[in-house]
Amino acid sequence: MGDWSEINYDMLVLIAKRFNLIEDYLNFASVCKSWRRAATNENFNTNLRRVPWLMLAEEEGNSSRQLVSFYNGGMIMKKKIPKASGKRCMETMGWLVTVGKDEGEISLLHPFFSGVHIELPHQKLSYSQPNWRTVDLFSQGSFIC
Amino acid sequence: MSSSTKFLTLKTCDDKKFVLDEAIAVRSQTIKNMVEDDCVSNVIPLPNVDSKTMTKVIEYWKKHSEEGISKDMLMDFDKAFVKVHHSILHALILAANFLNDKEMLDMMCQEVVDRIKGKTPEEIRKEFDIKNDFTPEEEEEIRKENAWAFE
Repeated sequence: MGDWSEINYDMLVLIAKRFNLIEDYLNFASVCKSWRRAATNENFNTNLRRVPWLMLAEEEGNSSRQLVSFYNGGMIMKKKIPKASGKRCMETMGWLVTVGKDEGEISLLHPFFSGVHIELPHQKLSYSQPNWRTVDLFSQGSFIC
Repeated sequence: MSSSTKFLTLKTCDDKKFVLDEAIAVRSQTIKNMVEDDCVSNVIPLPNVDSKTMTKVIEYWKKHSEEGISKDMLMDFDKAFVKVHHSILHALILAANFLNDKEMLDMMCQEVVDRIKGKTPEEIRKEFDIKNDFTPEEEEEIRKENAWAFE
């Protein structure tokens, strides 16, 4: 019977290059030593089409945000994004712009790299109401590419 | 079928012979090269493929060579074709690689990926009967490295 940990390196690279989700790729890389050798940074195929994630609004008493993928049959991923807790979230180029409750505290954070968080200078509320309506559209959920 | 139909005899590693229409057998780039280079005498040896696997490969080749078969029918066939025990999937990947049938190899690799998606490393090991050969220290190291994506 074939041993999957001994399948040759070239085959493993062919398999490795077909993953769309980094989580699946990291799990693939954590199976055994030979698979890990094939799962290099270079072999994660960044040319594959990515489908955006829809980040749902925060549930009360739940520190995890739910992200719905339009790829993979509507898979739902739960992700702790503590820095986004209790804040309005908007998306910009894969980053989240978070606005704090006092409407002046703004920061940028990357939802998939938990250490990456950039505090932006505090903004005094100076927008007129119509502008905020645009923001409200997004406060229910954000698309993350 | 035209009168010029040529047949090739393929011999697997367990000494079983398969007689196959050349037009179908050349789905294998490896066999095609041998035919084009005129290296084919009587029997083409396939030292890396056993008869059980070759039967499956030929089933796939024949279905994909059927005239007038619809795309939907092929899709249904492919879907059922890959639903095999992982040991057969393993043998089919190696065979597709040796025979150099890119279409089949791609399909098999995609099936492996589909079986991995959404599973934890432990669930993947179970799916493919793989032993965890990391030491507890190495596992801890991997867990730390991956923490950014999973916390």
